[in-house]
Amino acid sequence: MPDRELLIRMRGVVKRFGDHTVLDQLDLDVPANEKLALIGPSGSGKSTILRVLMTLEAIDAGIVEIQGERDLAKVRSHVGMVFQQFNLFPHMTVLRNVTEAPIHVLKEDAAQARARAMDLLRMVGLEDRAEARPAQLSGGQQQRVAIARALAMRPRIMLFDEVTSALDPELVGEVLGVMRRLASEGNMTMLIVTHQMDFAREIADRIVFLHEGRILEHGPPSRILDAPEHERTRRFVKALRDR
Amino acid sequence: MDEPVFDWSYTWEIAPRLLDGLVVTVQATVLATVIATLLGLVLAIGRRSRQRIVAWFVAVVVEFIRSTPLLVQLYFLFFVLPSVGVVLSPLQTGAIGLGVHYAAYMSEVYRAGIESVPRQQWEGAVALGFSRRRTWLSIVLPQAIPPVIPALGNYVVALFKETPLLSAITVVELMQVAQIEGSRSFRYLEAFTLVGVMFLALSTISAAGVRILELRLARS
Repeated sequence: MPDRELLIRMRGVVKRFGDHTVLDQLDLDVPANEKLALIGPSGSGKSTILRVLMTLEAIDAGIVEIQGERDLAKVRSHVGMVFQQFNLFPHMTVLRNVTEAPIHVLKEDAAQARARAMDLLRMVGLEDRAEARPAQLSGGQQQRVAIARALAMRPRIMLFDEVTSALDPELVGEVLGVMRRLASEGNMTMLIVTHQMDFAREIADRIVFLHEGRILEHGPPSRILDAPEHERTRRFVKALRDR
Repeated sequence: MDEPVFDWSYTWEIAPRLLDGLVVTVQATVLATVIATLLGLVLAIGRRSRQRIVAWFVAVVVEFIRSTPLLVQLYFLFFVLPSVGVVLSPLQTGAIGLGVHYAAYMSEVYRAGIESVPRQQWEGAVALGFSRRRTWLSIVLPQAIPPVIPALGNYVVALFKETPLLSAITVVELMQVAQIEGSRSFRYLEAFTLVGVMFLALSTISAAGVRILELRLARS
């Protein structure tokens, strides 16, 4: 990697759930603006990495730094996350879902926050649904709102946790389209946990293959997907492709 | 001349005094309801505190209040508060006792509402950088409270029907007035009939209110 700022640094990270070790002495560096895809079988720790970065899980050992800061709660507002189940707030309109955090966390002026929220909703193609409730939207629309909501906090890092896994197949494309646009704008660091290998190939600068809480191998998409070093990676990629 | 079994003219004579008692009953109910709904919420939130000791302490207090009779609690407040220098009117003491007692019950109702908010909602709030306080205000309580309003309303009606206990600590509420009138004339039928009718009327009205609230919530 050229000497870009190192935005995320994980060293010897261990996370256990009971007897099960989900992250096992994991090391990971993510430079600024990298588009990183995390792949691997379920239980390999992909989502846990994102959840640790978002302060949703505490680690049992090791070091995690974001922008050189170890107290991740302090840099939390620089990190946005989109969840598999959207996690929109059902009692609020779409617009308020997007403005609530800028107004109350960033202390933005309400009118300004609304204007920016409308810009973001326009970007995800939902400006005409601003007054709808999440329950009135399709899964794909809800997930696009969730992306707009996360972007409203102006994060430097966006975490995508299997964001298309809960969607009907015909709705996957619209969400990937939004992520593609976001990636093309450049100055955003993206960590994407996904099973969409074609999408990973297209969007990612680098793919990390996780196995049993460790990084088994990582590299540019072409190498990981077409010429993996490890038999385990080869089998995983083949299984997804044959699906 | 034979006395009639039910003396209407006597009934009309005591009705205004009983209405005065009813006003006190309603005052006690309103004050106790305010205390119960607010304190109940505070207790429910306290039980979710990340400070273990706070959560544990609140749980013990709630359990203690729910496991001892209201009458004992009322006597306790009535006789103990003045001896520690807190001098309140019997009505205030009674409303506090009633309010705190029902706060314990309502806290369990709130707790059910809070627990019905999925964990993912908390996580969504964390991901947006909300403080704990902001998460309660913007995300959790607006989802936790509406579904439990009918259950809270039922406790308000129950609380209202327990106000006669306040007569034990000299609050001159509806029941106490009826007793005074009865002992004065040795006629109890009319006074207690009126008490029953008045309670029935107000309970019916407030139960209808709860139902209307329920319907409006169901629609929104």
